[in-house]
This record gives sequence, structure tokens and C-alpha cells, in this order.
Amino acid sequence: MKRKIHDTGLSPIVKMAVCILAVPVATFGFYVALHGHLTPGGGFAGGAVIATITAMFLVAFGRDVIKSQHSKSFSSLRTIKSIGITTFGILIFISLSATFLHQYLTSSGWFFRVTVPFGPNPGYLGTGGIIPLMNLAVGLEVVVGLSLAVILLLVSSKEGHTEAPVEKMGRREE
Amino acid sequence: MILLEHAPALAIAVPLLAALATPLVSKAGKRIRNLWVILSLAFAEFVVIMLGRDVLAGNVHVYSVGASVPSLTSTGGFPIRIILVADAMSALVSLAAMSIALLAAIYSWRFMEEHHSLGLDKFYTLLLLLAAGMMGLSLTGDFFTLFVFIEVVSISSAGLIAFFSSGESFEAAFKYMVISATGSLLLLFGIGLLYGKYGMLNMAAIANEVSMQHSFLDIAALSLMVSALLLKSGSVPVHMWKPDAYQEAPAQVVIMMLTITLLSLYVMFRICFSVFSLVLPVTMGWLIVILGAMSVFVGVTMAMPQRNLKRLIGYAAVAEIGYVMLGAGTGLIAMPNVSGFAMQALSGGIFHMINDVLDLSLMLLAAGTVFYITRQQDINEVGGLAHKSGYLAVLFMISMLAIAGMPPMGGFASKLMIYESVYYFNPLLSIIGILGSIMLLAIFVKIFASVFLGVPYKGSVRQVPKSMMFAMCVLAFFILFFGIFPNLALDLLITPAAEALINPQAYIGGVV
Amino acid sequence: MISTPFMAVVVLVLFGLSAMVFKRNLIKIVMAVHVMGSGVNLFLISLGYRAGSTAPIFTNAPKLEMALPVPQALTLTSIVINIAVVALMLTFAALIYEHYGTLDARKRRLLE
Repeated sequence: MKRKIHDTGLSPIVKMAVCILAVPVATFGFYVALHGHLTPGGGFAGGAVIATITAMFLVAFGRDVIKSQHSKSFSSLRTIKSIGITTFGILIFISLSATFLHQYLTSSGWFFRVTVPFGPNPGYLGTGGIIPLMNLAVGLEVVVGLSLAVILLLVSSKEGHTEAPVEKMGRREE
Repeated sequence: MILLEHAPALAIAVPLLAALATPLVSKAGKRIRNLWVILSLAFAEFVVIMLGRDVLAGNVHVYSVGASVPSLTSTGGFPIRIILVADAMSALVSLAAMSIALLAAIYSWRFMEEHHSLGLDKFYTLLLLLAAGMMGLSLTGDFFTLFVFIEVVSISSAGLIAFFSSGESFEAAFKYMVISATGSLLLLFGIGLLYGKYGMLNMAAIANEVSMQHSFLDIAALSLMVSALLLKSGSVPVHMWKPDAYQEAPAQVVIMMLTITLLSLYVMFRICFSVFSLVLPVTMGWLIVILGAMSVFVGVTMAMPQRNLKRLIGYAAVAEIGYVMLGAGTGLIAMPNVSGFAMQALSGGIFHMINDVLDLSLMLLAAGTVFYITRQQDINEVGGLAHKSGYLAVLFMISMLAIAGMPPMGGFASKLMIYESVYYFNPLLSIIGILGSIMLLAIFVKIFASVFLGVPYKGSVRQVPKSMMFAMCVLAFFILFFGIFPNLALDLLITPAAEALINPQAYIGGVV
Repeated sequence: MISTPFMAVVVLVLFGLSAMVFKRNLIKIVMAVHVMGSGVNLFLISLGYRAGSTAPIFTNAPKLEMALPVPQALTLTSIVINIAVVALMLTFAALIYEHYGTLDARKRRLLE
């Protein structure tokens, strides 16, 4: 890691701390996203927590770390995001038309199908039905979406117009 | 049949899934992406037509999302699920919205091809999201679902307005987004007031409770919600975003924004007629009628000095909204016993909603075609296009006569109904309406003469592509059909819708 | 006397509305929309509070009297939507700054 320290960004202590802190933050975000049916949070909040790692890296390492990437990696990020959101869409369909796929999904012993006892209890993870799957899909999409939003807003500013070129077609004579 | 049983949810879910999967599908190539968009919208249109045929036979179609038996709404009289309701008015409006979305997708096959560097898969994703949001807006039976789908529609149409990334389009999109966000927050405030009082969010259940116990809180919530929906539909005090947004968006996006305007008016009528039917203050009807008359006047007056074609159509759209509000507001004043001329005014207002969507869409598509073949937006620059493409001139003339209310187009029938019934009610408003129509005709004749007749344009003119011509011909066919056989449309489509609106008991009884 | 959360709601919404109308800088208009959104979210949450209740979570719950969970779900949805709206408006503001060179709402070229 020492060979990647440029003159931009913050001091080496901050960079080391950010690299170490990324792991607990990611774990915490994954926990919040996965336990969406037991504790407050869910897909969106968990994804937003993990997306702060991207913001942390951008602040600590400076903008030039991202500038050196090719724009092809943006399209692969967009592919991952659309995989996440398409999984969410397919899960919508499965839960919606549950009346004719119902007999395949209600046999317990299937993933996440344990019945919940009523009243206060320590949270059982397997009780969600299809909701934890939806939380994970939304979480994946939110991570990539928010990270892309932060990166594109920061990098494609006035002097750094190399990443996502938008051609003006010159269609107005004004 | 499974398709009919799940029809309301499928009508929303199919464009939604198609929108979410479009970035993946467009990796496979341009043609597959275009086919994917059009096929998913065609499938959703088929579902909506089947739903419409079932509903117009007389029964309210109620659907609980995600239940094991979709028509079971409540256990013990307290509805706790998200419920989609389709009665005659919803079916009519959703049919119109889906048809316009399908025609916009067909039109944009060739229109957007030259802008492929701006990222067309994002364009189609936003277009499909807009279609799914419109379906949700027209089929909802629940206040919070209403808020969510209004926001979906606002965000995706703001993204689509800014698609041609020029400075002016960003300004128009920013203005639109600020005004829409304010409107949605006011709507949420009203919904929160209603939830705090009744503890429920379901429209039919609240309608049941409101008739028993009402207080000032209901009137406050009603006024907040109605003002938010008027903001979204662009009538007179808050019409400022309309000309800018209509000028900057691509033509097929503008026709979908037109449909959004009419959908928000539909939601306002649903709230006023079905939910607050018995406790409606008469001031509400008067307010809508007066704002409608002012919209006609302001729209027509501001349309006269415009030079940009789509901006002028934006102001004409403000005027047309005024006609719908005139008709339906007269029906509102006579609630809860609507009969005679008030019923005719309400039917005329609803019929004019449909005709308005058809004529303004045709004119907007024709304006978009003019821009496509000449690349100019200023009407003082182009001229003599009738020599190059006679069909385009004929289609433009059909839409122009329809907007101004000339026979044998559809606009004549609905405007005649509005004029007659509003005249019985208050002659001055009817006279404002007639004068507005005459001035609209004058404005459009001037445009037609300067764009299509006269000195031929010196620049290069391309051919009109077949897909765009097909979309415009479908619209023209429906305009002529509604004009030559208005009683068919009235008996089949409009009168059941008007009956369903003024009969809240049928709506409530279907759900609770 | 109106209880405290509702007074805060009124103050926030009025501040947001008046700032949106009277301020010229585009970023301040976006902030005003966000403040108004926060006011409405606070209103939604404080509708569900019952005196002396805890959070509506069954995991290791101390007692069974809980606040209403439905307005909390509505507020979460509203927060997510407001984030998307504010992000979109900030993007437009940044792009307007690139094209026009100014963030003043009165120096426009478009209105006729």
C-alpha cells in the first residue's frame, strides 16, 4: 500500500485508517441489510452504509485515484447495479404471482421459511420469507447506485470532464 | 383466467420489470432493446384492454397485492393490504395512458436514433419507468401508493426532460423538479393529516368514515391534496413549469407528460368525487371552475406571441386543461345529486380529457416530426413543408382542427357538451370558453400557414420515417373515429366512467 | 398548547416554503426543499407516538406497548424518495452551473 501514496489526498495515517475501517463498516452494513425483517433498516439503509465506504475512499485518497480509471469500469459497475435491480424485479414477480408458484415455495425447509412465534423473542434469522432476498437485492443495487452517483458527481466536475463525456448535439441555433 | 385475475398488478409490474431489466437487455444490441421495450408495452396494453373489457361490463375490480386470494381485501372490515382498484373511470384512464405510452415507444424507434451517444438505454429505462408509474397512478386505491407513484412519475419525467443535455433543458428540468417536489410534499402532508385522524390509508375505507364524522381537519387535508394535484397538472396559478418543460423534452416524452397532467386531474376527481363526496364544500367546485376559466384565458393569451412550436403547444395545453376543469367543476358544484346538465358537463369534461390527450399528442408528434426532418425549432425559419411531405400537413391540420373544436373531429363533440352545460350554469364562463377556442384556431392557422405553406425551406429536409407516420396515423384515426361516432364513445366509455365517478357507494361497496 | 413535535413541524415547513420562494441561489432552493421534506417526515413519525411506548420491534422487546409502526414505514419511504429528488436537483444545479457559469436564479436565458 505504500507505493500508492501520492501527494494528493490526506495524510498516510488517514489512508491506513480508512483501509482498516472499511471492513467493520462493510460488515455492519451487511448486517443491517440482512436483518431487515427483525430490526430497523433493511435494504436501502444497509446499502447506504456500505456506500459510505466509497465516499471515505474518495475523501482520503483524493480525486486522482478515480480519474485514472477507464470509463469501461463505469459500464461494468452499471451492469452490476442492473443485475441487482433486475433480481429485485424478478422477486417482485415471484411474490406477486405467488398463487401459481405457491406450492413450490411454501414447503418449509426452503430457504427463509420458518414460522415466527408471537411476542418478544431474540430475533430468528430464518423467518422472513422472501423479504431478506429482496433486501439483499436492493442492498446490492443501492451500494452500486450511490457509489456511482458520488463518483460521477465528484469526478465529472468542471475541470475533470474526461470520464463521462456528454456530447451536445448542437440542435439549437441559439 | 390468471391474466384477468391478476390484471391490475400485471399492468403495473410488467413495465416495471421491463424498465429494471432494460440496461441488461440493451447489452445484446440495439434492435433487441427496441423490440423488448415495444413488446413489454404491448403486453401491458393487452392486459389493460382485457381489464377494461371486464370492468366496463359493470363490476368494480379489486385486487389486493400479494394476497393468496387476490380479491380478499379485509378480514373483519379493516383493510390492511395495498389495494388496487379498477372501476370504469380508472379503466378508461389507464387505457388512454397505456396507449399513449405504446405510441411514444413506437415513435421513438427512429426519432431517438441519432442521439445514441447520449445513452439510449437510459432513455428507454426512464420511459418504461414513466409508463409503470402512470399505470400505478391510475389504478391505485390507496393514498400512500398514490404518493409513491406520483414521485416515481415526477423523478422519471424530470430525468427525461433533461435528456437533450443543453443548458436550457437542465433549467427546465430543475424548475419542474422543484415544483413537483413541493407539490408531493404538500400531498404527503395532507395524507398524514388524514392518517392521523382515521388511522387508515385506504381510499374507500376513508370515504366510509368521512361521511360519518367530518370536521375541519378533513377540509384542511382536502385542500392540501387538491392544491398539490393542481400543482402537478399545471393549471393557472402554478402553470409556469409547463411551457419550459414542453419546449425542452423530446416530443414523445411531452405526450407522456400530457398524460400525466390528465392523470393528476383524474386523481383529483377521484379524491373529490369518491372520497369526499358528501362533505365537499361548494367552494371547491367554484374554485375549480374559476381556475379553469382563467387557465383558458391565460393559456390562449400567452400562446399568441410564441415562436417556438413546442412552447406554444405547452400554452395551448394549459388552455385545454382549463376546459376539462370547467366541465368537471360544474359537475362538482352539483355534488351529491348530479343530474341533467351537471351530468352532461361532467361527461363532457371526461370526454374532453380523452380528446385532449389525442389531439395534443398528435400535434406534438407532428411538431417533433417537423423538428426531425428540418432540425429547426423556430417557426419563422421553416416554411413550405407541405411540398415535401403532404401527409404530415394533413395530419397537422387534423390535430389543429380537433384542438380548436371543429367538426368532424372528436374535440367538437366534447367541447359542445361543455359549452351547452356550462352555459346553463353561468353564461360568462361559456363565452370565455368559446372565445378561447376561436383564438386557438387563429393561432394554429397562423402556425400552419407559416410552417407548411409559403416559401419553401432552403435547408435539407429528410424523409418522414414509417414508424413515426404509423404512430401519428393511429392517433388521427381515433380522433376521426371519436368525431364521427361520438355516441359510440359516449355510451361505451364515457358514460360508465361518469356514472362511476358520481356514485361513490359503488366504489366503496366494491372494496369494503 | 400544541405539543412540541408539531410546533417544530410547522416551523420547518414554513421555513422551507419561504426560503424556496425568496432565495435566489439554486443550492439554497434545493436546501429549502430538503428542509421542508424533513418537516413532513417529522410530522409523519410523530403521528404514531403513543405515550409511554417503546419501539415496535419484537426482538427482545421490554414491554408489549409499542408505537405505531405504519407511519415509520411511510417515513422511510419518504426519506428514500427525498434523497433521490435532492440528488437529482443537485445534479441539475451542478450542470446549470457548468452551462451558465452562475447559480443565480434570476439570470436565465430561457424565459420569455
